[in-house]
Amino acid sequence: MTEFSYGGKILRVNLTSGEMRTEPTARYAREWIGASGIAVKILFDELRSWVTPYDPANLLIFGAGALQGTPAPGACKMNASSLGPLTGGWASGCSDSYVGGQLKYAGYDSVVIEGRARRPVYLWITDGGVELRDASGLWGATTWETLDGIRRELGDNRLHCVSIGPAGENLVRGACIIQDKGRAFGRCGLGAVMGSKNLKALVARGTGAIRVARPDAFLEAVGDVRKMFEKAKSRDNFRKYGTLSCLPRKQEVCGLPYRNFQDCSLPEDLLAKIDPRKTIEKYEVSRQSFPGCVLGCGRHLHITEGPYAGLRTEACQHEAMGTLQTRLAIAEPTFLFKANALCDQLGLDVDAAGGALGWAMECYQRGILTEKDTDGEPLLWGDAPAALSWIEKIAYRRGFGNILAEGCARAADIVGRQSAYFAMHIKGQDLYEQCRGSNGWLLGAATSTRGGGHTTGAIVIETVGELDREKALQVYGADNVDKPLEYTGKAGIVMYMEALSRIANSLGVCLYSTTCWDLEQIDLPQMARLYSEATGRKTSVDDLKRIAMRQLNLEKALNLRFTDFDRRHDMPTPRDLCEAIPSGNLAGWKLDAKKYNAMLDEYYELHGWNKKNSFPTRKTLEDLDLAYVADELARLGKLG
Amino acid sequence: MKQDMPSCGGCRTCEMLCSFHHTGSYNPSVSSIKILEKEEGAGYIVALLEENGPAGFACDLCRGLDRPLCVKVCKEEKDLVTILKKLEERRGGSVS
Repeated sequence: MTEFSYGGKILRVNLTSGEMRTEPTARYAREWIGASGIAVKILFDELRSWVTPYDPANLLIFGAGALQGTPAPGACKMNASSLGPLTGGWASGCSDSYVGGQLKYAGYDSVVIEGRARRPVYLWITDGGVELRDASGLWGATTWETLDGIRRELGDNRLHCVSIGPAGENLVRGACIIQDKGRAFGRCGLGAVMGSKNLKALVARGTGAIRVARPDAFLEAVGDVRKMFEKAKSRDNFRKYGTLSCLPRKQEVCGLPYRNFQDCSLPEDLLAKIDPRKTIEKYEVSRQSFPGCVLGCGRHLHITEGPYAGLRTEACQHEAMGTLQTRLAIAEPTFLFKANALCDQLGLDVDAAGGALGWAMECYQRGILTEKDTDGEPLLWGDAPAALSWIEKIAYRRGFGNILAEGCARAADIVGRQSAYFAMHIKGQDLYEQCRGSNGWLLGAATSTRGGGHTTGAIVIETVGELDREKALQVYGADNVDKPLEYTGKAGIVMYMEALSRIANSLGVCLYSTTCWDLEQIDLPQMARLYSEATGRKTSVDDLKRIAMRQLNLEKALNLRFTDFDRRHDMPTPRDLCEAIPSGNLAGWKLDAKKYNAMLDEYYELHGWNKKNSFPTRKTLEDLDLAYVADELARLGKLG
Repeated sequence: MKQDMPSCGGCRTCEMLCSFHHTGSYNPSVSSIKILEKEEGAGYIVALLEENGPAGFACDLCRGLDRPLCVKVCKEEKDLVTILKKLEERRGGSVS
């Protein structure tokens, strides 16, 4: 039976045997929606406890959002999920993607990849068939060369692909998967899992149709939701600069990592010099957005002067600014675009590069690392050419780059010498976020089931600026969402953000288009309406929240099967706990550990998790119809 | 008919809506409007099919509707209308 809004099938590919089969998406869709939701269910059900991230038995699951392929606003995201090599647990990342839509037009919602190919291959999916093709000639190529090579080989310059670069091939733990040339399935080391399977790329082209259940009502919902964006305060700036528009605000709220988080705001002269808005205005050549996008936050640049003159690349988002430019204290304003492009080419997550390099530069500053450790090269703040050279050394695991390629947590473990304090990570995942002075952001990042990061529960909007009280109360269930220094009520808002991000990811809706970023944008009621009209299944906001909590508990249970995570791993980094903000508008502000713990207690209570160890209780799991998960946790001795 | 549209960001929502106009479902491979990447450099070209064929349906400027669906979802609707007007001059129809 064809499911409305879905491609209809899940493709299973065993790279070891070459065997392929399909199963109906309907088997999972009702309970898990799509993409990351279906993926976590499959991972939990099928990964035995002895599987390790690079084991051929690990699964790498690509999934298109349940609304992808339709004009649902912002529904352009595809997900990749697996057991990841950075945290050792649940790994999941979403990317803007043409491939996801093409996959659905070809009749597939997800692709579950297991095994390891004997030689490099890429997967070529059309509605006419699925083929594993030899990728020996592409092995070693950058992601940019890979896209061009595949388009040439298949004779279609409109094709889109997701691929890995040298970082993924070399099992760099922070390797990511790149969509075409400029968007990433970031974090978690998903590219390294793909590399371990000898899978260079996935290419899809579909010519079939996606039908929705109630075409006119769906189109009306699309129109109504698109209209909402006209009221969004952030829209104009976002269209002009994307998230790079937030640099001045981040400075005001001490939200910038400087010299690996030694400070939380920038010297004024550096701030003025690196303003990305000026760079964009000077070098923008065209726009970039993805299917269904209402915002259009992307753009292409052609840098025509300076050390990177000649560079043609897609502009990046603020993440690269924070994690590479300000963290490493680099003053050349075009550096972030060059570094981001290089990371994209090599298939290296920008945070993995910034996390490891920030740690190393601080260790060098403090004499913990010397040139004896670092291949005879100094590691100095602000040294842009050296940073680019180290990014390459990480991707190719050359010299000391081989240690940095393990991510800052493991690099500190290898080096020792009390360097762990300077490794900014949560659960082994390098942290880009400046969390001091933003308590709800911190709680969401610290408790994140995929490790450090702000896209699975952090209150991103906390520092954006003052919000309309009444509207904020209605959307977030609290009226202090814009008070970053307050502790009360933040646990509940994090829980809302957890639901919002999981439902958005399952539907394929870009988080930038949601209330994560602006309270006039897409919220759960709009997602429920779009999903109901598209599928014909009446789905309420409460239904969506319940599905999201089922997903979250499964992510948690997957982590409990494969890692030793407990309450300790939901704590901030030692630096965030011990150090006051040194300068700027919040100079002297220090996190209150007691109040953080009270916030964490409340967070566990709201989730029905044991406060001592963070484990879900049987009652919580049974209330979510997850009794089989409770049985598994009981077997592991990890029932809360 | 192919036209450069420097303001186009490639969201391709127009392709989806166009296919809906012709078929009642979402299938950009049969749409009349195609957003093509430029052969050299970044940016997009708008192609409009003037005849039915394997590439899709001929553009009928959404005859019968108050405005073409592609225009309704375009973030740069003025620029797209200009392109559609060129087609209108060649084929007749109305673009508002």
